[in-house]
Amino acid sequence: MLLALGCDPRLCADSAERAQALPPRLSETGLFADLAGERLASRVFEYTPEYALWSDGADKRRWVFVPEGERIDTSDADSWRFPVGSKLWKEFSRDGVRVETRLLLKTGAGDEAWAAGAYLWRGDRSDAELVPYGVVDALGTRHDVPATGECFACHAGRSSGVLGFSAVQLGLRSYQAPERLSAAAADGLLSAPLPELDVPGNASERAALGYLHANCSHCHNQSAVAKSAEKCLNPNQRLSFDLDFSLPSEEVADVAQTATYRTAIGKVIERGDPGGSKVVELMSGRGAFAQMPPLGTERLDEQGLTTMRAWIGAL
Amino acid sequence: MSASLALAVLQLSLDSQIGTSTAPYVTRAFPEVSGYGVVVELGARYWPTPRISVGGRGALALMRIEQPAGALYAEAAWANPELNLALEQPLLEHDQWKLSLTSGWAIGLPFAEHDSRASQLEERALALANAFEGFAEPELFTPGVLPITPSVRLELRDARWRFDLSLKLPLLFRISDASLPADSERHAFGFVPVVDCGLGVQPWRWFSFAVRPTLTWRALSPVEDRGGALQPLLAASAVFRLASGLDVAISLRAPIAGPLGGSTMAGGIRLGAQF
Repeated sequence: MLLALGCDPRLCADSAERAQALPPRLSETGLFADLAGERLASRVFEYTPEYALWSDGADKRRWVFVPEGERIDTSDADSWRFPVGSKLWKEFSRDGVRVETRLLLKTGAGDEAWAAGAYLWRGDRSDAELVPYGVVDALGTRHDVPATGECFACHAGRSSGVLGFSAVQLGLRSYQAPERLSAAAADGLLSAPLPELDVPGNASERAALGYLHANCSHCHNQSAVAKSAEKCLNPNQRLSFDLDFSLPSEEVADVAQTATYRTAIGKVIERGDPGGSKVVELMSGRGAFAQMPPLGTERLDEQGLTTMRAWIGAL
Repeated sequence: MSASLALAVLQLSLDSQIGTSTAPYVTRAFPEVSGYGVVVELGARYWPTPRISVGGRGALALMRIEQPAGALYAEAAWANPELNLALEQPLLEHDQWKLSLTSGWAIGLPFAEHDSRASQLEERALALANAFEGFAEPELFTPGVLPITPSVRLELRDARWRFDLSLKLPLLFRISDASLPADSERHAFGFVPVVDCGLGVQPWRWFSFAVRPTLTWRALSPVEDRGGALQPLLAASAVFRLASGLDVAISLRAPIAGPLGGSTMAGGIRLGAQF
């Protein structure tokens, strides 16, 4: 307890002021031209990342908007730059109940110039209300809607502020997720065509590397900006699970050169020994100081554990 | 437990409790509150006559409150300061044994802090502080109420042993909605009787030890939550006399069963001085 008082990494700033730039209701955010009919507004496009973040089995939909005349700067494959006015939404449904829709809004030119908040759907689905402090067990489900400060616990781990809309998540040659960002949408949103990337390794390796990228690398990467205030789940940067396509092509093609292989194997991943690997141990736990990811999940990801055990067992 | 207490004219105390708790909370958005932190309480008591004392106390809760996704926010919240009056009536004396009855009246000043309807951070900090006490101090940690607390204590003691039985009857009159959201079930009046008994022994002049079981009955909570009405708590303390009129006490307390059983524990240090 005394140690926790001094160095609890879960301590984050109350960032409710960063939701003040958001309108109070989802119907006012520009996602739908017709909310009841779910007709998307102009220049709003649906997308699905290749590797999804585990959210306790919630069903998710995602959308992106870029203002007319603007484009996302994709010159750095590892860190896209979004123009002011860009918006990204992510909707969560649990057990058939539409619970929340989260919004990221680019409010200025700086990397940290994002507003974030979650909108809790009304029971009749007529609209959703901004809840800057979140909700526990929302709408009778086991789903917890995060507070705004918790948004930045993860999103501030990447300099771009955006996690699931990136070259890795949309530009893989082996892309299998449905509703990939359409080519037309990509042409209208991005400064350059989507790259065609390959995650190195065999199928098991690609699955594991992709899983770690989606679920771990927003904190565990070596390019994150150090947080100046509370530690807020900002981990040491010795570990990285990032899939980095800004590297030279010959390094990108070598699985041994991925950040996971270079920084984690032999430290938190023991070759051939899933049970002895810290990553599997923490993925298998739930509770304070005893789980990974540390936020936003109360249930184990059994499929993710299967993927990790299979990969580690074959190392 | 110090024998010098009977002769004291002025008593000052500084109490700090560190605890952790998961407790029921009163809003639909937050049906429970989890976190840990420190409660600091400053108290003073003055005896203008040997049998009459007046006192006051105030508390500050410094908490880290768990948010829906698992992060923590830090929050500090002042509790209701309290003024009190006690009258001790000796009933029986035999050899070194003394039986006395102390009646008391306390009134709280309704200054406990409360936050916005959305955040509920200060309210949740105070709820955690009350949970450390097994819900036994609602007069301190309930915002938006005017607390009036009559009490009575029967005490039997000699130079070494002490036994007491106490009954406290906090009456909590709501004077504001304390920024509680509309979906909370508020009552115009709260009534939370607390009964406890203490058994203490002082084997040496410099050391005494006591155990104190407490039962709080939330007969009518000022705001309803999903927890049960009865909350037992067990506390133990050891007091060390550092010098004449100066002592330090170490305590542990844990709710047993009830809404807080298994999820709450607190311990602390109390520094007391008598003049």
